[in-house]
Amino acid sequence: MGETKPVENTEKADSKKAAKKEAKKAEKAAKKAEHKAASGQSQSVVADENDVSVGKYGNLPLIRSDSTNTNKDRKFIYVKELNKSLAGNDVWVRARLHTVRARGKQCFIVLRQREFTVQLLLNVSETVSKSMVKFASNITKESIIDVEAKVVQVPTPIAACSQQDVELLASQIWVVSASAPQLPLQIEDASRPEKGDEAEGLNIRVNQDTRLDNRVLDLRTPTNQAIFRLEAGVCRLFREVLTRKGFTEIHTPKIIPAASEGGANVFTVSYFKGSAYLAQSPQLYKQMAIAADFDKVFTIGAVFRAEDSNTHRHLTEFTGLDLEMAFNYHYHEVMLLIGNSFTEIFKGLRDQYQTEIQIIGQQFSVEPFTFLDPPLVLHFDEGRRLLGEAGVEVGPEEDLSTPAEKLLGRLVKAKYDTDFYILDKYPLAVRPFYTMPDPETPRSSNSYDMFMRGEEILSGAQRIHDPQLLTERAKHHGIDLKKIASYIDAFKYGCPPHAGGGIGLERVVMLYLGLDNIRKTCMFPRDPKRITP
Amino acid sequence: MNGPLKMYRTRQVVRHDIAVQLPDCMYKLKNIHAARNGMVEQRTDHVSSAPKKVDICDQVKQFLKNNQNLPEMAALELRQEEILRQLADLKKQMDNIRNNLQISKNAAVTSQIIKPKQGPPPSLPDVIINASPTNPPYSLELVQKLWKNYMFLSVKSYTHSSLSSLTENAQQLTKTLESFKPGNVPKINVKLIWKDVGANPELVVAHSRIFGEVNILRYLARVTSDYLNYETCNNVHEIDALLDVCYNIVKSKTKTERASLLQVLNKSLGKSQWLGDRSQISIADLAAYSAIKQATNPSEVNVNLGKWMQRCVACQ
Repeated sequence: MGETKPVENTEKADSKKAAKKEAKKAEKAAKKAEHKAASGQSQSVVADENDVSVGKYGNLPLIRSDSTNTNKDRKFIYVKELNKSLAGNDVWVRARLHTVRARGKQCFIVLRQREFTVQLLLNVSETVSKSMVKFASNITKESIIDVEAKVVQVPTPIAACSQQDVELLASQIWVVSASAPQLPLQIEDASRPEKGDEAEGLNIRVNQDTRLDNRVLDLRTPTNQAIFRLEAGVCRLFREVLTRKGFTEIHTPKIIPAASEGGANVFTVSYFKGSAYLAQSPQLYKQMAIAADFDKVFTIGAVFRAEDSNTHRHLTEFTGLDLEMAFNYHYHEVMLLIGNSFTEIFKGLRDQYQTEIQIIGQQFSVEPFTFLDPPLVLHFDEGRRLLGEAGVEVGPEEDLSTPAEKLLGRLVKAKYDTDFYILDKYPLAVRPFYTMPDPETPRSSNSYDMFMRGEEILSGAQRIHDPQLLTERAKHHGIDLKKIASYIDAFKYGCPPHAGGGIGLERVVMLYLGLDNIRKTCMFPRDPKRITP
Repeated sequence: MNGPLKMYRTRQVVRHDIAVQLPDCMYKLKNIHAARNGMVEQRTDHVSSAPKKVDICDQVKQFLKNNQNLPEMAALELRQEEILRQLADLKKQMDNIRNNLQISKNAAVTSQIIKPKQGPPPSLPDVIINASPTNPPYSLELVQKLWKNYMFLSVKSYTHSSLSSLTENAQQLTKTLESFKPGNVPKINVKLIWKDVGANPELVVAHSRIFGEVNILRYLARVTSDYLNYETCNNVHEIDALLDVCYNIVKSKTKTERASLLQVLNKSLGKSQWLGDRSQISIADLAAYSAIKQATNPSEVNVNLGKWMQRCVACQ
């Protein structure tokens, strides 16, 4: 300890680091004491005598935004910015310790910042002591560390890191926030490619439930980072595209007085002395906005479905992107606008999110999403004919079953090479009562479904905007008129003809990326069996 | 009762021979059955069949016998003889031609089988064509025009996600094809998908694809009637060879390669209106027009071919 004093004194003289240094010193002493107790006495003595790196490593005190901190102006470089052009410079980097491996007088650390990784090397030298290397090699995985290092170009690319051209030679290393030594899941395991039939190599995977239980760790994998950036992109593009087309964003209540659709699958919440329901669709409010002359509206918000279905594509709470629009004479105006908006969103994703798609593709090998511009529109009967050719008969007034939908998706893909298409003119019998019947063929309705990779993502229709016809249709469906009185009343004072539809954000992202489970695209999924975390 | 069969005698159920009291509250009409060539018996109470069977043949014979000496008849007879003679002549000529070309009778029979059905176009399923915007299938433009009075190619174009934008030529072609005004003829839907498929457009049929523009043209020619069909022509092989030349023009990489292929086309055109020394436009012209438009610079095309290109554009 005697040797460290003079160094500290000189530093004290030229800067105001005193307080911090004192703290560090104390910490270091504590650490060393601990260290001594743990390891052999003789070794630590040697370390003490030769430690030239004191003040260059250790645990930082808790950062509480104190104004006296001298490192305020320190410039940090992002890991993704590290490249050849910075070679020879000293930089500061704050990142997570991804892996650490000590070998004799050397210590290799991989630093990770989101999906970017870089190799950090500690060599015992005149400025780096053995004990510093030892300290570094004992930092737990996933700890956040500050590193000062020199950027060095490497002769052969480092295959294991994203920054392959350079590595860092550490001169200081400080722990900002340490991780617990035991991790419930390893980030490498969670980000290992799932390519199916790979016999060689490690095949350790992380179970979906383990991932969800430890979502914070799981979300650190490059793939998850990319998935949720892409999801944000879908939301942003949806807003941008529709705003450009003259839509107004509205917010609809999530606590509603009565079930809007059906009624069996709503959550009941206690509401003071009575009870209320959680909205399972913003439909009624969208339509009311149309009746209130907003012309074109969209809304983004949570939607709740109390369906006890444990499938790969159902959640009890998801984000709904809904839109509704008044039209002049034909609901195709709306249908094609929605279709084109999708195409624009897909184009935006294709052009702006290539890196994300590529990263996700490394872990989950999926075919890239294909689409046509303008989107392909098939008549329901045409779809039936395609299915009939493949040996699946669907009646003219029958809905498509899920397997039939998937098969149709594959047939359309084989024929037109598009993963996105619109199926128009569904039979009236399989649509809700507020769907406008087709004036030309009585068994059809003015309704459409949109599909991605053979799974339905949007179901929309021209709604009946005439209270009389609406009452008639409701009676025909055997619906209690008293329950939907407020719905019918909304059209009493004149309402433009309108149509619309809604999509589930998570499902769209899942299908766009070709993932197999909707829980992969929901940050904190809610299903009948999970309400934590 | 007469005849070989013995039957019971029955009482007569309906009697015809009693006099019917005709009502007098109506106008009297002349009996229309009474005055027919004297064939019908002069009985007024009811209609009965003629006593002997009158054959229409007999009537004609009778008529002819009566009119044998009319001059019109003689002229008619003469004309018939004349036509029969001409037909015989024609047959002889055909036989000569066949001998000259040394085509056996059997070959003639097979070509008869290939001969497509005349008449209304078959109801085709939707046609899906994938094409690269770098190699637009210009021949569709001409097909559309040529079929104006036969079938309407209703083209709808799409852009596949593998492309971020269309070339100007592709946009131009899309516009021309989509804005075509049909006559009152059957419609066939064509979905033209712009997609990165290289130099060879694809036609999607049932479960497989047909590659190459010339092959698409061959397909269209074969499934429809003889508007474009060339398989019954004398110079089938020549047209086929020309189609292959067109295929190679699109595939060609260097200017010299193209120059020699264009020379082949030019030679085939010669001084005639259309390729293959024909007086009518054929499938070869369509393919060549498209290939030249896709692959060559205007400077590579000589005057003769240039004029022929003009004719292609102007064809109806």
